[in-house]
Order: sequence, then C-alpha cells, then structure tokens
Amino acid sequence: MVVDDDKDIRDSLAQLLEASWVGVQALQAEDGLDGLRLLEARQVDCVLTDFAMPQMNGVELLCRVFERWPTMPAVILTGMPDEARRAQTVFRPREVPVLAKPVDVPVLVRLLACTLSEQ
Amino acid sequence: MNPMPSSGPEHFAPYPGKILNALARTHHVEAPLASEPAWRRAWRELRESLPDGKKLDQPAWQRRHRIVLWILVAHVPLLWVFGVWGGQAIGASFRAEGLFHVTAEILLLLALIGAAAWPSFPRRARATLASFALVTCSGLLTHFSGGFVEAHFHFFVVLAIIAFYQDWFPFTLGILYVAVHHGVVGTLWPESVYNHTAGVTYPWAWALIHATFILGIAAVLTTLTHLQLRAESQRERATEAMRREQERTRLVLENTGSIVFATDDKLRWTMLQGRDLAGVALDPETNLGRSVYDVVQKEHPEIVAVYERALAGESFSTDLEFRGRVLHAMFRPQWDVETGRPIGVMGCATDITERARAERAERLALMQRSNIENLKAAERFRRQLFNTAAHELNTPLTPIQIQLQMLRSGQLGELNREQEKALEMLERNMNRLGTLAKDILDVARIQNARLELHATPVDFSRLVAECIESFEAAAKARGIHLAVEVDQGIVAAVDERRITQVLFNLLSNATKFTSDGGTVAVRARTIDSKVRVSVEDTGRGLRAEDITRLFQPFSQVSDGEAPREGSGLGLYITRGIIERHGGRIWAESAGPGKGATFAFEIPLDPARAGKDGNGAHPTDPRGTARAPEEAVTTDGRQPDLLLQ
Repeated sequence: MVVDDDKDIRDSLAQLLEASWVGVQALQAEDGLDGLRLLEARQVDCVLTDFAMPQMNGVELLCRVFERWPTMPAVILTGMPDEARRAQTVFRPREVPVLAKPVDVPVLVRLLACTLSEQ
Repeated sequence: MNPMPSSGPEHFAPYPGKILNALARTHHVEAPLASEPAWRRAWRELRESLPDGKKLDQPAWQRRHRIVLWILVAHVPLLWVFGVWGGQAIGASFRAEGLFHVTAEILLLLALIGAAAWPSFPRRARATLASFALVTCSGLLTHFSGGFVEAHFHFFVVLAIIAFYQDWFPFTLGILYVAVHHGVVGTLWPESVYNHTAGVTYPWAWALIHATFILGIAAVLTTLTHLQLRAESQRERATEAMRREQERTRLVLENTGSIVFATDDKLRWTMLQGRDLAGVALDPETNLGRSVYDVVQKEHPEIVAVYERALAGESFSTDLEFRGRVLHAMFRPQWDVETGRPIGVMGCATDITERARAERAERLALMQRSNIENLKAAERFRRQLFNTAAHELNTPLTPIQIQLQMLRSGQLGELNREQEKALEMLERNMNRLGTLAKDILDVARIQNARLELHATPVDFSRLVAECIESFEAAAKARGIHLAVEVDQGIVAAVDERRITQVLFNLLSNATKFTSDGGTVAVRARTIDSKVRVSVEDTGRGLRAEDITRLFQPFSQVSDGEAPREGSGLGLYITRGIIERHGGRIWAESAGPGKGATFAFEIPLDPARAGKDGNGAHPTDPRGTARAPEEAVTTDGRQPDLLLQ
C-alpha cells in the first residue's frame, strides 16, 4: 500500500511496484486515515508511506498499524528525512527504514525486496 | 489678607471712630472710614506723613542726641561769660544782667540739659527736653546780645531739631514753647523783650505780633522741611520696595532652578541667575560682564550664533547643548524704545538633560527593538523559505525520478536512439536538480544548526580508498594521476556518510579544475590528536581574494575559462560538516595556474567530536522523548522547528 498526499508520487510508486513485481497490486491512500480505512478493508503485505501528510502523518499511521499488525513491513519515504528519522524512534526496538526524497529507485526496490522477503 | 468680608460703612457703624481707625490700620483697610470726619482724617494723614523719629534706630538716635547734648553743654560757659560781661563790652544799648540773674538762667538751662540726658526717660521726652534746651539757649543768647542774633539763630535751632531727631513732636513742642514764652514775657515785661522801645503803648500787641511771626516762620520752615523729608521718605520707601521685590525675584530665581540671563548689545552678560547655572559651570560672580564671545565661542560656536540671532531681533525657543547639559532656552531681543535699535538679549533656560536623556534612551531602545524585531522576522522568513524550498523541491522530483528510472529500465517499453538521447539529457538534469535539492537541504540544516551526525569509528585509509575508487575511471580517461598517501591506522569517530560527502566534494572540485595529464594527491595523517586530510591538485589555482570567500554560499570561483557548474554550495556545506565535527577547513594556493590544496582537520577524540560545532548535539535527545504528533504537524505543513 502506498500512502502519500501527492497523487503523482502515489501513481508513480504504484506503477513502479506493479512493474517490478509480477502479480503485485499497489493500493493507494491519500493520508494516514485513508490508509487505515484501506487496511481494514483489504489484505496488505507492506506499507510504503510519506511522513508529512494532512490529517494523520506517516508515523501516526504506522503506530496504529503496528498496534494491529505488529510485524507489518513498512518503509517511510519522505522529503523531511531528519524529522522522520527522529520521529521513527518511537517504534524502538523496531527500526523502520527512512528514505529521503527524491528517492534512489534501485535502492528503494532493493529495500522493498529485502523487507518483503524477511516477512 | 483682609479678614473683613466688606468695608462698607454699615459694617463699622457700631464702633467708635478711634477703635475703627485702629482696626482699619491693623487690618490694612484702605477705604475711608465712615465715622472719621474729614478734618481728622486730614490730620491723621498729615501726622502719619510727618517724620516720627521711628526711622532712626536706637544707636543712630543716641549718637545724634549726644551731639545735641554736647553742643548744649559747650554753650553753658559761653552764655554765662556773655551774660555777665558781654553786654557791657559790646555797647550801652546792650543790657547786661546781674551775676545772680545770669547764673539763675544758666542753672535753668543746665537743668533742662540734665533732664534731656537722663537715660531712663523715654526717647521722645528726652528729645523734647533737648529741643527746649536748644531754644532756651538761642533765646538766652538773643536776650544777652540785646536781640541781635535772634531771627536767624532760631532758624538754625529749628532746623537742627528737625534734622537731628526727624520727629515732629519735640520740634512742635519746642516752637510752641518759644511762642508761649514770647507771648507771656513780652506781655508782662515788655521792656525786657523790646528794650529799644522802652515804654511801649501796647506791649501785648507787640508780643502777639512777635509770637505770630515766630510761629509763621517756624511753620514755613516746618512745611518745607516736611515736604523735603516726605519726598525723601517716599523715595526711600520706593527704593526699599524695589529692593525687596528684587530680593524676592532673586530668591525665586535662585531656587526655581531655571537660568535667567540678559546681555547688552555687545552680548556681555548683565544678568545671570538660577540654580541650573551650577550644572553648566557658569558662575555668575566671575562671568557677569564677560561676553558670550569670550566664554562660549570656543566651546560652542553654535550657541553664539543663537545669541546673535536673538540680537538681530528674533524671538524664539530652542534646545541647546552646553557643557554636556541639554537646555531648553527662550530668547527675546531687547529694543531701545526711542531709537528702535537692539540693546541686548534676554531669556531663560531650563536644564532638561535628564528628560532629554530619558527620551533619547527610550527612542533608541524603541528603534533597537524594532530593528531587532525586523531582523528576527527577516531571518525567520529566510530560514522558512530555505527550509520550505529544500523540502518542496524534493516532492515533484520524486515522481520524475521514478518515471525516468522506469523508462531507463525498459519497464515502459523499448526506446529508440533519439528517445534514449532525450532520456539521458533528462536524467542528467534530473540529477543536477536532485543534487541542488540535497545541497539546499544541507544548507538549511547547517544554518539552523540541525546537521545531525551519526558518528562511528571510521578507518580513513578505507574511506579515502573508497572515494578515490569512484573517481578513478573518470581520471584515467583524462590522464589525471590520482596519488594517495594515507597513514595506516587512522581511526576517528565521524559521520562516515558526511565525511565521504566532503571528500567527494573536494575530489570532484580537484579533478574538475585540473587539466588533462595533471595530478591530484590525497593525503591523510594524524597531527596532535587530529586527523588532517588534504587534497592537492595541479589545476587552475586560486587568487588570494578568492580564497577568502571560497567557503561562503554561492561563491563560485570563475576565471571565465571554465563554465560554471554546480550550485556553489558545495564548499559551504563542506565547511559546515567539518565544523560540525569540531574541525576546520582551509584552502591554499600559490596563485593562478599553480594548483591548489584544500585541507581539513577533525579531532580524533570521539568525545570532542561535534561539541565544538555550531549548535545541537549529533542526535537530538528531545527527538526520542517526543510523540510523533509533536514532531510533525498533522496538517502536512512544515513543522516550525526552527523558531525555538
């Protein structure tokens, strides 16, 4: 599931994911609340979320997600890496990877591959 | 103050005139009293206007009285000799008295003198007795000389009494005593008075004429003297009133503080008064009569100009600074009433230094406050702009990058040659934009002291080798020799990613500005518990003036040969990273065309790393304690973390 308030980023990421893994369906959500609704409704394998979003930010979203699905793989992709890195310390001892925008696409793909394979 | 509500006649009606008069006098009622007849009032006024001797103080009166007594005593032997023999000596018509007679009359005179000298008698009584003695003296002299000296001798006596005692009472009684004496003696013993007309028919008529004549002369003399004395007294009273007024003015001026001054037409001070004079060290004693030119010109020529302006005929108020004090001064020209020419300047000045100081300080504080506020606002705006720009650039770059990557990987279909060329150009510029966005973000971090370091022990020989590796292919292609001289075993606690960034930057600059076939040398060694890394090239070199501004943002060095590349932020960020590690960075060059060396030093000691930098610790301890809601606002805007 891709959560980002920017439609172009969402679309591009979804397209990238669907093109990189055969049979993967990328769900899109505008912000944390939208993402939570989607999580309730659908089966999700991994959450790729932005950090700063209206209504509910990425870290809040992940807090809720980890309450229900503690082992859910997640990656934060953000234009504010410093803030996101500081904020993600609430998940300790768990480490949620934080990638800075603009993203290095091969790195992202490798990271997602690792995360999914771990699961 | 007049305690009486009104001075109307009905108010005084129940009181007898005398009491009313006393009341009126004690209460200074000026209106005529209803119960006082005109003649009595005229008499009162006359009496009040007559000299009553009170003007003389006791010592002055004593002195004068003593002189009168000595004159009288001196006349006693003279009169006695004159009385016994003088008459016979002068002529047949002059009658001498017998020894007994003369002695008796002299004894009478002595008795009067003695009484006048009696100290326990009241002043007025003694003066009256002395005046009796004086007229007796002159009478006896006249009598013994056969009336020869009578007329003018009496005048002198009368004048002496008035002049000496300045009191109407002894004088008037003296005149009455003479008149009565002449009336009585002239009537009873006419031949003793009018000896030249022995056997007069109407002695009483002669006596009456005689007494009237004496009274008349005395009256004329009295009136003249009185008028003179009254004029004098009025003058004195006026002078006294003026003196008192001046004294009061002086007291007021001296105690109210303000300076009052006046000058003549040559700007010489004719008046200088006021307590504030002390503040400007202008002593009236020494400066009265001196001119403004002498005293002020050298120190404050502008004040002289102000005086001259007033002398030219202008009235004005102005604030002056004089000897460290601020004075608010008012200037008025003085004119000669007849000729209309300026004859001086008058004015007053108040010391307003404290007020002026307070006002100035307040203005200054206000200005400073507003300046500081403006600066703060500008700085806030600048940081916000930078921060926002850094973050907002990244958002649109992300989908571009993903789409480019997908195009490149063929996930969106095969590309023909033209499309690939176009893609290359897009990628190249995308990378430039990406680098710029990262640089701006780094600058924002440095300027906000939020550059975070994640220090780990780093082996510098490995770090340098890895960096060099990235440049090897490009250098080889251009025939540039990459030399590495790194001491083994240099391990420092640094943020590896950041130091790699620094080295990359320096190496990229060095290879960029080194012409084909040149050399770039990287050296690393420890000096005094610091690691020093230098990157030396044989490139274009640097001018001295460029070296000073190399590490400023947007300061690209260009000599017109090479095209400008990059954002111009690289060395600024590099310096920020090194300083954040507690180190320093510098550049050296022998001059244009002679190559350049960029070097930095970082402390090896991990405890010191980052603490000499420009702000926060490598990891913000607050970050761990924060709830995510606090760290980032939920409406997606930039959290205003800068404004702390």
